[in-house]
Amino acid sequence: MLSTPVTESILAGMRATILGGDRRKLEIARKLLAEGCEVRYFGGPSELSEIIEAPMSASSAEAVKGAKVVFCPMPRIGENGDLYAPYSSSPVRLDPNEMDEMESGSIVIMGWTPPEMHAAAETRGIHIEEIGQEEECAIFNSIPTAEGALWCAIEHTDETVHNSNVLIGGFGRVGETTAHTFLAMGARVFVAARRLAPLARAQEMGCSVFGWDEIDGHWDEMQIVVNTVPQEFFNRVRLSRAKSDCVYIDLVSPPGSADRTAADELGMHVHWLRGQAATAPRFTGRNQWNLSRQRILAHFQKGDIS
Amino acid sequence: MSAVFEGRKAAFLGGDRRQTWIVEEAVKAGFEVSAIGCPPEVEKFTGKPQENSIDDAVREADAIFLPIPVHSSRRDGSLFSDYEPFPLFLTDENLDLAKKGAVVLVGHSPADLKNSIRRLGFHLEEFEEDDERAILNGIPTAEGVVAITIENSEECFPTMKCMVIGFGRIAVTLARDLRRLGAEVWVAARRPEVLARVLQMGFHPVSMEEYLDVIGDMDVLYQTATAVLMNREALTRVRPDALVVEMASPPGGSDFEAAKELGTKLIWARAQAGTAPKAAARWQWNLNARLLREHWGR
Repeated sequence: MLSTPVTESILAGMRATILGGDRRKLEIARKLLAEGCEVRYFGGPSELSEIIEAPMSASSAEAVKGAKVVFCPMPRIGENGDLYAPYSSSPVRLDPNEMDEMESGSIVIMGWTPPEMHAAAETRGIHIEEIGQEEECAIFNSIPTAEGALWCAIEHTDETVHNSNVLIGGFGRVGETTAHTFLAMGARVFVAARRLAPLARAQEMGCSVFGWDEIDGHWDEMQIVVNTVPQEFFNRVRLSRAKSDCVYIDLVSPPGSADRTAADELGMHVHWLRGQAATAPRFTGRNQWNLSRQRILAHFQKGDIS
Repeated sequence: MSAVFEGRKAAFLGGDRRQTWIVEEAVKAGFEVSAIGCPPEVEKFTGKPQENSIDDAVREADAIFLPIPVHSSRRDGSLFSDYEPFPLFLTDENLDLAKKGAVVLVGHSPADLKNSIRRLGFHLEEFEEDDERAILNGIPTAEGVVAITIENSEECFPTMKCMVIGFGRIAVTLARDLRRLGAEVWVAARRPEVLARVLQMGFHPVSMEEYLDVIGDMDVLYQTATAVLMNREALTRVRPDALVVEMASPPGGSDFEAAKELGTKLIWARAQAGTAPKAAARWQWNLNARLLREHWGR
């Protein structure tokens, strides 16, 4: 039997740091260890200590000292500059102060980067790799989002999802995955979208389709409605025609797609699901790692190692 | 309206939300319904308040619909009711007020109830083991288990490895749902002809000799068999971040004590058909109506 030859990763021996984040970072830590990195962290879930068999660093600055690779959280940085760190009691930051502690030629992986952070990194010879807007990332993230919608529908309908009429607004990455998910459970899936090519794809998959302006005409036939398009969808007119035994799900990131004032006045509930990627941390962490690893290897293979 | 049911009297005792929809159908079919311990919504359909005593509900009834499960979890012998005005005890004296030869409909009847019904000369329809009902109830049961998986697993279905232990009516539906959602599915069963069907349906068949060796690769394990197959030895092989879902009715097929000691994430998914009470009620009514029609002869 052939065995895979063991070659040492070029990351072996490098110091890698995880700042903030949630349980998605557990898988990143495991993978970094497997590459032979020396892993530190600050402001992440305490389970990280069990994985790296070391206590958390005392501060962001100490954690990134001598680091060649730094993982920041995927969600956007807060307006005050704090990194997303739901497990941390103190703020977690990557400011010029902290960057001064990092090795020149190092790489930072994060979702989205504000311009001033880019500038600060550049002057210090630090490369920031933004992966938040990657198509690949968006498709992977659509999977826990669609599963979250399915969970919500099963929990809140008095009927089975099987055989229910499910309307999906929009057929982008989230819409397409949501359609697959509900079809898998035996629902009758209806897709409303504007463009003809996505509607053709939806039809090919086994969905019924109609145009965006035909939604109101079909509204009363639906038991479960899921919207993925970032514009007002659950508006006053539709909510006033909503039924208490139907389930309405908004998958749009803030500000969402529901007229919440109207919903409250009419006593209708639109389930707003956000941050679903965090509910399947091993899955999402692994996907983030796979994408990040390519970028990290490319970075160091360019000969940026100082 | 059905000529068979028109003018007949039905008594509904206890139960949960499902009773609302069953009563609605019974009234539509022509029954005159008396209820006690049912959801307040039934009064919309019966057109009168619920009764103040079991005697009043049962008096002159042609059919008596008992709750599922029959008895309350208090184990004091009272009837199960989410809406009880007071503990509802059903005695032979109560039952005797029904019409001679009345039909008693019950999911599963305990031995003493069976004896009472025989003694009183009533007709018992026990329908829990009905094949049609079990297959249909498998749909919401599998959905409930899918929801539990989404909520509790670290993985998503497209990268998930699952093993279903046992391949009865509900397991078939669950295995198919999991695969359609993208999971890779193994099915462990004892009988070779069942494993042949497993293979034909595109799942990985696992024999009882092999199942312990496969457990360590799985993200989620679903235990549906009545034998204790998730015993201590099996549980020690479960990945520390895996999820075990026990689906068998009490006493279940897992060693719960060992799971606790080993720190295994084990969830007992019971009465999951309750996630779709309206559908379950519709199916139960269809079945009950069929049994009554067969008994009373169209």
